[in-house]
Amino acid sequence: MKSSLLAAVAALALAGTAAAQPSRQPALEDQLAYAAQAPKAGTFQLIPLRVLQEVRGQEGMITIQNGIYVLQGPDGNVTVQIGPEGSVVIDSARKAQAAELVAALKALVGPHTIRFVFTTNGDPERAEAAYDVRKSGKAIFGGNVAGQASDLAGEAVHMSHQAVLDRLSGIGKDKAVDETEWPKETYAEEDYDFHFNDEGVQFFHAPAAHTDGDSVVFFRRSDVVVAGDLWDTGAYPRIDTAHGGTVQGVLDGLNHVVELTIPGNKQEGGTLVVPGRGRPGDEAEVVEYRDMVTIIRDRIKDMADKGMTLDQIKAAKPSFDYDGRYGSTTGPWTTDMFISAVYEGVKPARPQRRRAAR
Amino acid sequence: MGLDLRRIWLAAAPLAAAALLPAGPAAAIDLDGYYQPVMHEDQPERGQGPDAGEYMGLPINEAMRSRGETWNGSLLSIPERQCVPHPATYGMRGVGNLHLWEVRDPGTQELVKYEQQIVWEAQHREIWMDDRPFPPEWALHTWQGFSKGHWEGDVLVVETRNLKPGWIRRNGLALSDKAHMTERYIRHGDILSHVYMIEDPVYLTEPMIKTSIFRIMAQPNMGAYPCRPAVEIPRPKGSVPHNAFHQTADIEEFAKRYNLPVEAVAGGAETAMPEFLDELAARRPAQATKVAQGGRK
Repeated sequence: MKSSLLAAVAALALAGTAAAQPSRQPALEDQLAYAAQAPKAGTFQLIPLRVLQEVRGQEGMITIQNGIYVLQGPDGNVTVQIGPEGSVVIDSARKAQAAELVAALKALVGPHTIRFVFTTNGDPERAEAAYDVRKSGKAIFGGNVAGQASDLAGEAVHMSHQAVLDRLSGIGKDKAVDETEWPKETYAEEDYDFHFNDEGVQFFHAPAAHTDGDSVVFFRRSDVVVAGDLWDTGAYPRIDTAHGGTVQGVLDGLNHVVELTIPGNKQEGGTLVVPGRGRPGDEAEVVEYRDMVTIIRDRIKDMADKGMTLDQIKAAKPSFDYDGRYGSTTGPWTTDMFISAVYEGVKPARPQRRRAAR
Repeated sequence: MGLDLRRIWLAAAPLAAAALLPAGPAAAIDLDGYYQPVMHEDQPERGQGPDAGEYMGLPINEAMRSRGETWNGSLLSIPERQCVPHPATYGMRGVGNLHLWEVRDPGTQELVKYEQQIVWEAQHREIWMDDRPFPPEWALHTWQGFSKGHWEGDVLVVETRNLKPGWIRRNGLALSDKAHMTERYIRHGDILSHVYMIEDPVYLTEPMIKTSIFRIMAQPNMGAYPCRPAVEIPRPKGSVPHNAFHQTADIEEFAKRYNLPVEAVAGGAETAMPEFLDELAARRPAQATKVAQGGRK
């Protein structure tokens, strides 16, 4: 049964020609057209980036163009592609919100069953929440054979980069999450792609960025890039140095996002980008963020090259002119932690000690 | 007793005239037209652009000053920056003709919006007059933001939110995406006065207020502004031109060229006040006296 939420969105899409026809600023007009109507379901705010286009045929509603939606939550964004083959969910917020997320997803996707759940990094809480989301979906698998394949029966496929599985399964160490929460399919190369809902979906590994297992996801026809935790519109990038994250990896990833995006007229609109946290934007806003991270990285590197210690660098406040926008003295990711993480990536290498000749 | 048709006509005429007027918020004056900027005020800034490091009289905080010091003009040469237009918070200060026109609902003749175009980088704005709600914070932020207008007497008052990170001056004084702007459009015959006030909790210590003047043009004059970025200077991937941290060379150079105290050039709300001269005199008597007298070397 189609959910009331999806029905409302679809009705709006059909009622308003603004969303259905090309316009000078389609992204903005899409968003403004639905600004007043976009519902907030508890914790999650629904943000329509590209609205699902459906028409009524003889056998009911027929999807003629995919929709890309964001469920914006306090602990991360969840991006959803909805189309005739089902739905793809990118990231899953946190375990604490998993039940609420699953309810919001069910309302959003309606009959477009969740087929894939993709995790853009190896944060354990993401994988834990992804477990609940994948259990609410169903993979496309051969007819009644699916019932005999216990691994795939009645759940979506959970995917990620191989480094995420390595981390969660704790190769050589204790596993980070229970085996049931591990991704079931991974890619180990630089990139991976498949065609789903009549569009190419590409996954690019962003090595050593937020963690060592980050991915950037590109919905080619919908023209939407999911940047994951490379971009946070309200904070400095979270660099998890304990799990392979580096500032250079974040910058490489952001530069790759800039390469993937093509802005519209006067550097506005065009390809839209979904951050790991915060509000979606376009290339210009990613460029602004990339520039900020680059400038702070350069400052800290310059100080480190001059021999300043981490404490001296912190005292010099190398990010102070951006702190009013991105900084924090409290919470899980503070300015102090960001500067420490950047320093870790740019500090001069210690000279190798020569072994004394015997 | 015969009907006094003249009296009936006189009484009915205003009602008939009112029935012919469009409903909705009435435009007190006609703003439609093509305007040319009049550069008598703040000509160096509005014409060729301000010098690097010139922040006098602007209510900037330390963080904004640092953004200005860090800014390097070469930033505008990277492809991602080449076609960026002035944001709404600066467009009226830049060069280029201005076109203002009203858009009415063809059926009801209600005033729906004003549109505005400035030739440089084709800055196009919509000022909604139909009291629609502002978009939420999560909606896409744009260079021109989302604007709503209303009339206060003969003055069109415009509120703008949902702006991208922009600037208040062409020399690197940045504005955050938390900023919002209030404008007033005032027309006196052929002259259009534009007053704008920007508030930014991140980079301004108090509202920044500026005025600009435009003169109506006899003939329409508005060109297209196609722009396609290209690599003009090959650089390593991901290069972001910028000055070193706490680089004050630009401020010092400007101060030296015009024989001004560095403290005044560096800006801040206090530098807009007459009392600032007294403060300078207390700190540096000789130089402050020279500035007060308009003296130069």
